[in-house]
Amino acid sequence: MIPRHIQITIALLLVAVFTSGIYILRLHRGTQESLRRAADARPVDAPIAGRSQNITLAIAYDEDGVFRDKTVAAVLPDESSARAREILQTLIAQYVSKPSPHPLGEGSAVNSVFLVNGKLAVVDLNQALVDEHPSGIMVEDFTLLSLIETLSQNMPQLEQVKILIDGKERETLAGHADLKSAYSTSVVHQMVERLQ
Amino acid sequence: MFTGGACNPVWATVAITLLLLNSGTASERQRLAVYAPQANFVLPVSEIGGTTYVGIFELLEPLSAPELKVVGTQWKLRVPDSGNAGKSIEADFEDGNATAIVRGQKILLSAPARHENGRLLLPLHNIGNILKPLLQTEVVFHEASRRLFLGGSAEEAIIELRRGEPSTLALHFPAAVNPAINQEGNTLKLSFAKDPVVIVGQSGPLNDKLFTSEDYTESNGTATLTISGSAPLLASFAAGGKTIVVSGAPAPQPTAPPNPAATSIMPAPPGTTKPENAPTTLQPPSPVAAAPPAAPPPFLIVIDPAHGGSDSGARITPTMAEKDITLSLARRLRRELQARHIAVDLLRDDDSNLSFDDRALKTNLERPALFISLHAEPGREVGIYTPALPVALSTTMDKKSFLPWQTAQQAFLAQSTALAPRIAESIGQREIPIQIRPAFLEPLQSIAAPAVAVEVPANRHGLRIPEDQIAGAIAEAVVVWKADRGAAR
Repeated sequence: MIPRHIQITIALLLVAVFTSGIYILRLHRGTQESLRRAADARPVDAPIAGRSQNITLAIAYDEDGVFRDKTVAAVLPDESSARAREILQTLIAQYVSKPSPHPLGEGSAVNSVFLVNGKLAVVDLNQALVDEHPSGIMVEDFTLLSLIETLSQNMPQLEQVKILIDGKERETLAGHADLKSAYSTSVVHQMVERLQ
Repeated sequence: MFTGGACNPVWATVAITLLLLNSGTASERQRLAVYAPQANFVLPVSEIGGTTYVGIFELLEPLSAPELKVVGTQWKLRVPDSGNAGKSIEADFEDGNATAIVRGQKILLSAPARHENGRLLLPLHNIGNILKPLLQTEVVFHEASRRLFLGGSAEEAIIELRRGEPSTLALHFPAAVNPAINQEGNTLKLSFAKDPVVIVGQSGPLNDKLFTSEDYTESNGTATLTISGSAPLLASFAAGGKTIVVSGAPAPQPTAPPNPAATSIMPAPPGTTKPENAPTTLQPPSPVAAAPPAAPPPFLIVIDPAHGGSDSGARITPTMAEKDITLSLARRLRRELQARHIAVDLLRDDDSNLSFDDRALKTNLERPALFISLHAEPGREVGIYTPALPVALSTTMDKKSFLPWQTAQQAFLAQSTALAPRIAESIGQREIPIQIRPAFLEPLQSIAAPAVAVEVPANRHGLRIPEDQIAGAIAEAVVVWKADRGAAR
């Protein structure tokens, strides 16, 4: 028969081993997360300096084939180009999050928005958005309509919107919707209105 | 005998010359021209191991309603028996085997049958022996020039030299023709790619003051008549396109009275049925007032099977791409329209990749009555899309004047918008859910004709709605559209 004091020692040792194991596992995960963050080359957004404002998003609902306006609060910078980018980024965040009324791929983002004479907006989307975009006439059209209508609702002075992908012109979004043309905001507004 | 290093430059020059000549020949796409009472069309042929092959299904599809089944290496082809309604004629082929059984009879092929990318390829040399029992019709095959005449479709032209001061040369054809005409110096070249024209007789000198010689050749699916003269020549259509009159080109004058008997050559209206794009007809320099042929343009439908080649379109399943579904549906729609006696052209009849500009260009050159773009995607409804233009144009466009490329559709927008409900109505009769809406869709904006896109829902089994139902419904809508158009005129 094992003496009682040895039993207690073994039990304490087992507890110590188990606790150490958990500690080492957590330490390992923490290190891995640090390494992953260190390896992420994506630029980190600068903190937005501005005030919180309500913006209107033209949200596409693929299932119903309609558009609905949604008002959300967002912190918007004062500079027009950065402001336009932030508005579109807020819209895309709605589509990237799940469940989404109009799913876009993870990593979809707006690189930048350039304003020309205050009337033309050149929107530069990232490659991830088109790579992961579903192919289809309606879904591609809805992405264009949603981006352009959201921009023009919040920046009414805009007359035309041109879309680039990673700084380059592209024929279509994912095989269907035309990206070569610059879109008239009034034409897009009429189309979205009919779909509301 | 050439030996030694001194001769190497000579051999190198010869080798380079041969290489260049060879590459020039290889760059020209080899094709087979098929002329039949049902349709005239052109097919690509393949050179494999020194033997020229053609896809038998692609050849039969515009002529009949063939079915092709494959079990392992065995291929079973079935075509409707034109002599016995409801019955069919069968032919058996085996991949890698040079023996075929057609209508119970053994046929020895000059090379083994081949299976390539889901197509059954047969040696072109044997195509006459195979088609005759299958179609039970007269088959005349000009193998060297790859021109296949079925059902007595060859049309013999007569050349008449009318001597005088000046002389004229009249070319008489049994039916209206639409050759590509090219003038170089004192030579006039007429190329018949779509017309089943043959000229029997001797080529050679004409012993005339104006016309020195005529030369008829056939090559790569095209018949070419070359007329040489001592001065620049001018070709004019007469007798509703059944006669071409060649005469000396008059000296340039400020104005010239139009000739009521003959009209000078303009880019002719689209042909009847031609899967390959028509060549551009060149107008010889002439001061004669240009006037198009009097006959109204035929009612031609251009079908665009969307995507193709490296552009697969939507992935319906990992192994099923939109481009394959659209091509299959386009072929079915072609059959349905042809069965209703409507001329059809497919922008692609294989897995080729056409740019949007190419699609628009090919379509606009044909001046069709309608343009239908076919798409497929996972979904539940049939989508009928009318073109939406990205900019609002305040001016009204004249259809007959030059149209801006990016917004050429503007002049036809009202017709496109009116066409969509017709198709929806026809599809709706089959109790299929439909939606109609405008879309910023390529290449509709650049199409100078009434245009719509039809997107058909698909799932892992293929189209959710049987192909024949959709194609039949669209074809019926086109028939109604055509009737309305005729009434409007």
